[in-house]
Amino acid sequence: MSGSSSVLVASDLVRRYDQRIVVDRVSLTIESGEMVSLMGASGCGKTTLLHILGTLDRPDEGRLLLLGRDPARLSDAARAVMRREELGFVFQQSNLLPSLTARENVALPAWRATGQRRASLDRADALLDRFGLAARGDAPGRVLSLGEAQRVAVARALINRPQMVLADEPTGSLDSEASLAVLDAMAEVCRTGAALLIVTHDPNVAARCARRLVMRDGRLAPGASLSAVEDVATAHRTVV
Amino acid sequence: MIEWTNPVGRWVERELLLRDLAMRIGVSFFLASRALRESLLSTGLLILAVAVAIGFEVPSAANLQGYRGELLAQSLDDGFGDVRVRPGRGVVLHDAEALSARLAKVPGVLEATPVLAAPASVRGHGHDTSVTLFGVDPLALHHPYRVIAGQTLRESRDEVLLGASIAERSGLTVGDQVELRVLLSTYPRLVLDDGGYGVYTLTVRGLVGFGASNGAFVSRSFLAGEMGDDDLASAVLVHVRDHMAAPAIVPAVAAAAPGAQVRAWMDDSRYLHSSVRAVETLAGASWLMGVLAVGIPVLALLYISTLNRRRQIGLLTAMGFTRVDLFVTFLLQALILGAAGVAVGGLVAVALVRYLIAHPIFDWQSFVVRPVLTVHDLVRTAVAILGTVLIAGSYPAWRAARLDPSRILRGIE
Repeated sequence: MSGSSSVLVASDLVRRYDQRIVVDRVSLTIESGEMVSLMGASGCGKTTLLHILGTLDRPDEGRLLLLGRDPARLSDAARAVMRREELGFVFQQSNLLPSLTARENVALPAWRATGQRRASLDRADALLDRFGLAARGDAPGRVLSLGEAQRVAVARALINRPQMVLADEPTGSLDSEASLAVLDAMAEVCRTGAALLIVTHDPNVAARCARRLVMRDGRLAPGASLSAVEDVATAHRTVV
Repeated sequence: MIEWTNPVGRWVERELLLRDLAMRIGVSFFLASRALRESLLSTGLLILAVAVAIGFEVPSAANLQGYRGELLAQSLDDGFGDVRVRPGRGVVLHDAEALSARLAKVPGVLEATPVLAAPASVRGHGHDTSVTLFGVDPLALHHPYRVIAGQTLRESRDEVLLGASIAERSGLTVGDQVELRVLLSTYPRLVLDDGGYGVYTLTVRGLVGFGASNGAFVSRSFLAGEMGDDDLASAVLVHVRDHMAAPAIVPAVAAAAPGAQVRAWMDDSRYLHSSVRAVETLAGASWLMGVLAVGIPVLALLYISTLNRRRQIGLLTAMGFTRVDLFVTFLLQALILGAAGVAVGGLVAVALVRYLIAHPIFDWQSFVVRPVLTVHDLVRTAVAILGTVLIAGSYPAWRAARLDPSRILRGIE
């Protein structure tokens, strides 16, 4: 049973691809305003889990309650509405629609949700200003630097005031300076009251999260300490 | 049981639905137009494909329509009518005037005119040419010829209209005198016995073209009189408004001409009928080629565009765009391309048609093929091409809507 402040309650989620178990009986609860990191070696199922939690994918087994509702019982359209109004996404790269300007990229989910283009653009401008991108509002998505594009993506994830933001290695392609800027932006997410789940390989990112999860072979490792997180990061650096 | 309804509530609900629909279409239109700007080469090629198809299909169809119209006009209006009435027995009809008057009263008949035919030869400038000589009513609205030089026939015993081909072969022109030798007997087997020829010197009043270019025409009253019966005819030519409806009127015409042989032009002139059908088949094939010329590249290029934009589709899904949104966006993309292509192609088509009207592709004697283009034809072709674009665009749109966002975003698809 989910508590009143639980944004997400997952129980025994299983996902298989071609008989291979990618997510293996994962249970997880995330509270409002909580900042959670999820680390693990490449291919351990982090992104698949993130997609299941974000209703982009469906579990083969287990149950997910998102804001008290089971996405499996919702229609495609209702899940789309949930993604639009309750969730925000930030991916590692190629986050933006290249033919749209930065402010149009940010405003798009709000325009789709409210039908008010002008108000959505104004809100996009405010968010871009908050993330230090006011001067880049009219730049097309394709010309923005990786760091700028990621901050635009964070602004876009926040525009509909979501209950939860799911970020898949948002600093994975960035240098340390750009990473810091994006992390500051991500921290803003929690200040709005939204929960944040970050999939990352970066221990510095994980260190900024109140709760750190580690995934191994599709399973969440219980009671992950910061040292375990650093082990994962070291393993990732070795692989990469 | 009484069901209470709330009309205001229903109205508000409908308004909200319409607003939501308009908003969704607005967002999709914005995304579609921006996506088209993303790849100007693909967009340009697609618009060009549609424009070329309509730009050439419309003039081609208009030319074929013009050819078909001219063929029917020359062969039926200025030819031998839509329904031909001939003697059931023997070679001539007696009381042709009375029969024509009866036939003219048949509903749907514009005019019924008797014609009398006789074998003849024309001598001019030392050349002898065999012709079929027709006696026609000069005052009728319809004649089995179209005058291309000089003047039309009048009631006279001294004048003849000569086929343009005969005139050309014999070096004759309007105003020249010719000697006409006419077999006056209506019973050819008696020719050797009675030597029934009439020899007349006549002035060429005009030249006639196309189907009549190997014939000669005089007043029927003159020719019939020379044959000894003022009201003789070889056939009565019946004209109706709609050429293609000629078979439908045959029973009524037959009822008004008991004992006569009555045939619609389709049965009487297989060559003409085959020609018209061939033109219609060519027009259909041309239309189909136009449709394929649009459909295949649109399908291929939009499909490629869909594949290239998979990542964007994944992002839009993550942002909360529904499958319907994605389908509409990609379909609108096709619609914008189609509309732009039709607009450009339509202008090209109209310009080409105007050029071809001024410079016909076929102009021989009086037979001139000028493209026939009506607003209805243009709109019909534009709608057909636009429909083809939408159908061709709907598969890539459907594919875009069915893509698995999770697989796309992980780079698996």
